[in-house]
This record gives sequence, C-alpha cells and structure tokens, in this order.
Amino acid sequence: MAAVRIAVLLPVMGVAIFNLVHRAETLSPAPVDPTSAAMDHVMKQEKRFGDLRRSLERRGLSGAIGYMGNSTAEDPHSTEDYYLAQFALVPWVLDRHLESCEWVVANLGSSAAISNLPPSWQVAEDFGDGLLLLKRSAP
Amino acid sequence: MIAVIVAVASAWALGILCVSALWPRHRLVSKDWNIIFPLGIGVGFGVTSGFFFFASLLFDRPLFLSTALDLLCLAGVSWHLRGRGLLSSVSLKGMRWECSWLTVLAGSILVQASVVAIALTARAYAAEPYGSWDAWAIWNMHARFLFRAKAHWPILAHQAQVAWTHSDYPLLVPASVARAWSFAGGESTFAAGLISTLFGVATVWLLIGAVQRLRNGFMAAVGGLILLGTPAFVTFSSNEHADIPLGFFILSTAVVIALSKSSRDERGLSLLAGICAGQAAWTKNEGVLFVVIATFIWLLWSAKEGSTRPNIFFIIGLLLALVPEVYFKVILAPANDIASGSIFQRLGNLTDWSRHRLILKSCARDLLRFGEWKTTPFLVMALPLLVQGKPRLALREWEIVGIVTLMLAGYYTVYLLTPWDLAWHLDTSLVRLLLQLWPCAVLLWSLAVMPDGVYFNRFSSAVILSRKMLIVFAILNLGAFGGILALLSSQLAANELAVKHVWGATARVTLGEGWYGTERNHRDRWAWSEGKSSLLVHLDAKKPTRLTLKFAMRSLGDRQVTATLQNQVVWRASVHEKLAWVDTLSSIFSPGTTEIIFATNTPAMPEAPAKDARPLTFSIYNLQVESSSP
Repeated sequence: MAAVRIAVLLPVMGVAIFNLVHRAETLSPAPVDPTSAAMDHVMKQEKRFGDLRRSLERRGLSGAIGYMGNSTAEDPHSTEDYYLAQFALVPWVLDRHLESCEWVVANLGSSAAISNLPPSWQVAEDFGDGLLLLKRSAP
Repeated sequence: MIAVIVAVASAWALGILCVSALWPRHRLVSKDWNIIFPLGIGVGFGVTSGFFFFASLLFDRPLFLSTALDLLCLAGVSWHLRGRGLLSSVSLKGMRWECSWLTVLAGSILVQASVVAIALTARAYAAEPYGSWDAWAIWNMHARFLFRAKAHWPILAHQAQVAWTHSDYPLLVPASVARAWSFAGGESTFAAGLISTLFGVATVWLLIGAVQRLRNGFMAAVGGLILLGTPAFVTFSSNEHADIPLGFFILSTAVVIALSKSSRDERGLSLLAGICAGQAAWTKNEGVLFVVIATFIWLLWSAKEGSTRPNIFFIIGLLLALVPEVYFKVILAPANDIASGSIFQRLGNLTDWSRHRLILKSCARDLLRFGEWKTTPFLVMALPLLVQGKPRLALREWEIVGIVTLMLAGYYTVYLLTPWDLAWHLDTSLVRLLLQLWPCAVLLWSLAVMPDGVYFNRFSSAVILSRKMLIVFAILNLGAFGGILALLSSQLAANELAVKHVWGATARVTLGEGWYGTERNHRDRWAWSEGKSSLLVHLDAKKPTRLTLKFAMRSLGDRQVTATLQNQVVWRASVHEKLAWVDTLSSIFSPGTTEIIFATNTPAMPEAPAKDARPLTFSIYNLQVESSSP
C-alpha cells in the first residue's frame, strides 16, 4: 500500500515536468538584436521620450503639463500611448485637459500630423517621429 | 548592478536576522534555515520598504535616513540574537539532510526543473524588462514617482490626472524598487526584475522548506515541482507585478501558523505570523482582506484552545507591519475605486443571480487556465487524496484550509459588490487572484497527501544512500544540468529565423522592420510581412562569406516578391497561396549586419473578414542558412 501511495505521486511530478518543458519549448529567448523592430514597446517609448524628458528638465518645468494625443485619427492605441508617455515622463503629470496648461507634450505618432496643430500652440521643440513640446502662443 | 545587489542583499540579511530573532528558542536556527532564509526575503523587503517610505516623505534623498534606520534595526536585532547566543550557534553542522534514494531522486528532478524555471524567468524578463501592463502602469510607475519626484511624490502621484495608476495601491514593491534605485543612484529595470524574481524564488523555497520541515524531503520536492510546473507562476515571477509577493506573504503566514502547531505559547512565531499578515496588506489591497481573514482565523483557533497570550503578540506583529500601510491609507492615498461610493446601494447585487452565475462560470473557466498549463494538474493531484482517503492534517494545518476558503469567499463577495463592469473585472483580475492563492493551496495539498511521513518512512528509509552514491547523483545532476543548458541555448530567439555556425563564424538571420513577428507550430516557423519588410543578416566572421538563404513562401493572393541588397535586386519570385519552396537567395555578405529588403507588387489583404484582421502580404517559412567560401 505504501508503494501505491508513493506511485500515485509520480503522475503529479510527470505533469509538472511536462508543463514546464512545454513552456520552455514555446517561450523563445528574448530578441537578439535590441535595436530591431522586435524591441519591447515600452522600451521603444522610453527611448523615444528620452530627449523630451531631458528637455523638460533643462527648462526647469515642474508639476502638470498638457498632453495632446493623436486625436485626429481613430487610433485604438491612443490610451496606451498616453499611459506610456506618462510612465516615461514621471514626475511630470500629463493632463489631457489643455485649458490651463502653458506647455504641452504632443504625441502625434507621425510628423505629418504637425500641420494640423491648433494655432494657439507653437512648437518649442521637435523631437521627430511626431513628438513635440508645444508652448501656448501669446494672445 | 552591484549597488542593486547590495541593496537587495542588505534587505535580505536584515530580514533573516529579524526572522531568526523571532524564531523559538528551543528550535535550532540551523535546522530551520530552509524556512528562515526565504522568510527573510519577504520580511526584509517589508521592513526596509517601510523605512524608505517614511524617509521619502521627509527628505529629497531618503536613502541616508532609511539606511540609518536599517542599520539601527540591524544592530538591535543582532544585539538581541547575540544575547540569545544564536549568532554563534548558527552553523552548517546542525543541518539535516535526508538521503533516501527517493528523496535524492525527486530532489534531483527538482533541481533540474529549477534550472529550467530560472531560464524561463530570465527569458520573460528579457522580453519585457519593464514588465507587462500593470507592472509599468502601476508598480514601476509608483516607484518612479517615489524616486524621481523626491519628497514631492505624495502630491504629484496622487493628482486626479493619474488616478488611473491606482494611486491608492500599497507601496511595498514600489518602495523596495525605489530604494534599490537610490542605492544605485539611477533607475535600472534590473532592480525591479530582481526584486520581483526574488519573491518568486522565496515562494518556491519557502514551500519546499516548510513541507520538508512538516513532512519530508520527497513531498517537499513534489510540492516544489507543482509550483515550478505552473508556467504562469514561473513567467510571472519576473514580471514586476505585486501578485507573486502577495502570494508569498499569504504562504508565509500559513507556514508560520502551521509551524506553531505544537505550542501556542511561541511568542516569536505569533509575532512573525502577525508581521507576515500585515506585510500582505502593505503589498496589495487584497492583503487587507487577508489581514481580516488571518486575524479572524487566528483568534478563532486561540479561543477554541482557550489560550489568549499569543493573540497579543500576533496583534503586535500585525500592527507593527501595518504602520506604513495605515499611514499611507489614512493620510496620503485617495479612496479605493472599489470601496468608494455607497456600498449599501450595491448590497442588492448579493441577490442578483445573474452575477452569481457569471462569477461561477468565470471561476470554472479560470481555474483551468490560470496556471497557463498545457495539461491541468488537478486530476493527478486528486489521485493521492483519493487513494489516501480523508486528508490527515494537524490541528493548526486546518487553519490553512480556513484561510484559502475564506479568501476565495472574500474574493467572490468583492466581485458581487464591485462597481465595475463585472465581466471586465473578472476577465482582468481573476487569474491573478487565483495565482496569489496557488502557493498556499499547493502547501495545503502537500501537507494533506502525506500525513507526517509515516508510510513514506516505511517505504524508503530502508535504503539510505551512501556518500559515494550521493557523489554519483551529483555528477549525474551536473551532466543533466549541462544538457539542459545546451538545449535551452540552442533555441531560436523571438525574432530569429535561423542560425548557422560554420568555420568559426556565426550567421544569424533576424526579422527587421515590417513583420508581425515569428509564429510557429510543431513543424514550421514563419513570419508574415505587412508589405515592405526587411531581414537582417548578422555575420560574425573575419572576412566576407557567401551565404545562401533557403526558405519557403506563401502569400495572400498571387504576387511577385523582390529582395534587394544594397539597392540591387538579388532575388525575385512569384508567390502563391500554397506554401512552396522557392529559389534560394545567395550572395556574399560582409561581416556585421546587412539588411535584405523584401517588397511586393500587390497591396496587403486582410487575413480574415473581421474588422481588426491583420493586413498581410507574404510570409517566409522555415528559413535555413548555408555558407560557403566566397
């Protein structure tokens, strides 16, 4: 009976090993070239927002800053883009309501969208790839 | 990296000393090191994160004060241990090693499984260094506020604009990460990944140590294997969420409760149980529910035994661990989104049977999938229980049954009362809640299927391995270890299509821009192109080498595909819907990285009639690289 009680534990071990080996087969090693298109999307955004962050530091800005997303296109990723921008730009708090903001981060996705900017904003710095720092124009 | 390791190691050392100081005098620390060391990881991070949190409220550079508090605590605990003569008595001599062949065999399998699990954890980290959605959008976000906003973080992190980051979530994990960054003087994903992974390691280690202590080594190995054979647990360990740390604190409370079974007068263990439970609340909001349940169970059992003295120490431990949590929740944090609003208006949900149906249906679905198993282990786990009859748990071990049951009931009630869309709430959280309870459930199963090792000893103790046999086992393990590493390192990376090693050179082909990523089944490996796309040929060689790329292709609709290399067309073929080998692409490649650009003459087509279907052009299958002298 003791042998039976030990033996019934063997399938438990077998299933556990099978599950682990199966995951090892299906979970590939990370991309070999970190500069390639296979880079994690958070890493891409971190890299993209790096210069903007340094610019905000240089200008001595603090607290809340406006955020303008790619609202002209039906972009299903716009919320994720906003969250990723906030993650990259902590400790600045990105505010989607621009009324009271003097400075705005414009994350337009492509440089072509720059021509559609509202006239009340002027480009303070262009970081390429549709990423801009805007300053409210004097009235 | 070294500074991060120092930060983590110092927290761990402090935790080990704290746990040792609370360990009962009549139990040898050297005998229970397999439990004290993993417990030290959680307790250490709990204590140091609390100090760092308070210091961060006062100073822009909180590291000085938090380190001073760490050292003060370290000195106090060391003095206490010295007084008890524990520091001098800790040695490896007292450690007990079980050597029955069954235990060594199961232990060997566990060691090899651990190697695979660590490799998978590292892969999961490398694929997402900032973790998945909740990791960066909540936990690492809060760590950044703590680290970057200096003493202003409570104002900035609790602005209404960032309420979506769940500003009310407790800070054990973010404060531990921010503390490690402060040690390093800058941010690194390694710190967050290491802390996250350590909680996963501590969970497995604690489970093994506890089952070994309460039952035997063989059963400990089986329990450890079940946890390592839960792919979601393994890959989630480095994912920088707080669910694995919370699962650790639930498990550690259960372990300490089970260990204190012999005497309720063990003040140190009572204090430690309270600390572990309190640190669960400092880890995640679900931990508050756990605190209520653990306290209820503890008091209930004490009342049943007619003993009240340990209750005081449990409550003291709980209150000590809850100090940062209570300050954070009462003074700083906004209201929790689930608890806000009138709960009385939602009481009607309790009798809404459609909600009960939906929750039960989701539970049935997610119970089978939360571990991301290829084969669900529940059936084989039920077998030993069926053979054995009713589970023979010790009196205190039944408290773990109570904890798991009441936690499930608590989660069920929260879902009933949630103000959020129920289906969405279930879909986005239930698997993680089940994963939190899984280590504790595995502990319970491991204790239940083998009561006190009676039949195990009768079966296996007659064959005790000699030292020579142990050496043979160790050599076999090393061989298996090498084999596993070789197998793992031969696997293609996520963006890799082929690798060829020849004449001291390595040619590697990876996906460049314009692909949807590699896909695979048991036979084929392929990637679909969006339209214009590129392959990158990385050649690690001293001189130019002729490489030949062989591959199959298929397309959505008939089309012509052209490959260009440095603006020269090097390959062209007609591709059809049916998969077929096409002409090979052969050229001389210089050392370094060369880009081959693929283009097609026909626009992309949606892969299915669905609205969000991918627009596809052609796909490249089973690419092989061959090389020859130029």
